[in-house]
Amino acid sequence: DEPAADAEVKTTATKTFVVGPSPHVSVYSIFPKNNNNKTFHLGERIDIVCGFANNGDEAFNVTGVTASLLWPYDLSVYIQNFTRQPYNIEVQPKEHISILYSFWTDPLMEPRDFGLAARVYYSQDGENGGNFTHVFYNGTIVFEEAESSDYQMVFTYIALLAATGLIGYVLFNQATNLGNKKTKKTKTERGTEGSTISEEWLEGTAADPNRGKSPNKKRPTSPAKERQN
Amino acid sequence: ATQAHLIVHKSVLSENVILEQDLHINVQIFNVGENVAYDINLNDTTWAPEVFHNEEGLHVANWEKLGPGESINHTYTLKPLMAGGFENYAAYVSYKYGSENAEVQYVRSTSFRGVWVETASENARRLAPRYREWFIFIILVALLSVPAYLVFGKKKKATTVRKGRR
Repeated sequence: DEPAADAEVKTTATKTFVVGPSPHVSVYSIFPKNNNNKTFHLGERIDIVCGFANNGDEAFNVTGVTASLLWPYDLSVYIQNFTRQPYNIEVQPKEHISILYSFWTDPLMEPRDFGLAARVYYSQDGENGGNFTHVFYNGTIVFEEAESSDYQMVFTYIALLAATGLIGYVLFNQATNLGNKKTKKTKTERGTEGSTISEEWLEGTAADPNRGKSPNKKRPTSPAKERQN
Repeated sequence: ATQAHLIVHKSVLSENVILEQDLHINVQIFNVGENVAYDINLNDTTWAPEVFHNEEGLHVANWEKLGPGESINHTYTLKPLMAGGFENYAAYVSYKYGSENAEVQYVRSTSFRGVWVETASENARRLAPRYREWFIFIILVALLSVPAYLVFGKKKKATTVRKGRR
């Protein structure tokens, strides 16, 4: 019994593997907004409709659609991958269906041409069945700068003005505080503290603040010793 | 494709779906094939008549032919009679590859997952600028900042006095 069970698992594993496009399916695409115009504003919703035609004699099940934005000069470089939209649409033999896929681009992207690859995933039961995939759009689309509304501009200006005001207020406060401190310093009575006051007249007396501080320093000779010499 | 091939896209044009207000539906039919499509029939009887009353335009329409690269825009207006969430399904379009006795091909349109009909008051509440809430918020902030100012302001004064005494 065990080898038979193993074989079944293997068959299932083979079926889950994506094999590429089915010869019984043909796909088409259209951008319904502005009558298939391929120029969009950055950050706006982009709709693409996939036309899926089942030309075979067995039903297919459309399981998902996804799309990627590619670098136009090197289509192996992926700029942005869009979320895979799951579907569960059964397409009967000889039936044609239309599938809508919507995605949003990053509004901070550079406004320029990009490659777009959109792909549909579908499966079929039965002996010749399995999982299939088909690229239904592989071309260039153009992005333009997003249109900013008046409200946005007004809000931006107000925010800038508020930020400038706040910075100015903080700077002004700090400057005032510093000025106050400085004036306080000049007004403070420090008495005999500080190095600006001359203590020369105390030299050689017991009140000399430098007395005994530097042993190498030559002590001034007292007038009595001078007389002895 | 050496023959005609149609893609059908059904969409809601109205930004908000409100009870007893006009709901505009648009059906676009594109011929992405390489030949003319003949005898095109649109059938969108997917709207329950007890929920959506047909105000203007028809759910069923017919066109003689559609050339390659050409498109048709068909709009009709409904009036929702009940609030809540309602399912909606794809419209069907049939066409012929030739002008006479040719095989009929059926296409299923795109579909939206459902329509949520809200009442006018629900819509107004959802999109209201909320002036009252902002006013209450500002009053609350002011009420909280007054005691805070009184506490911290007094402290500052006391320290200044103490410093002066020293």
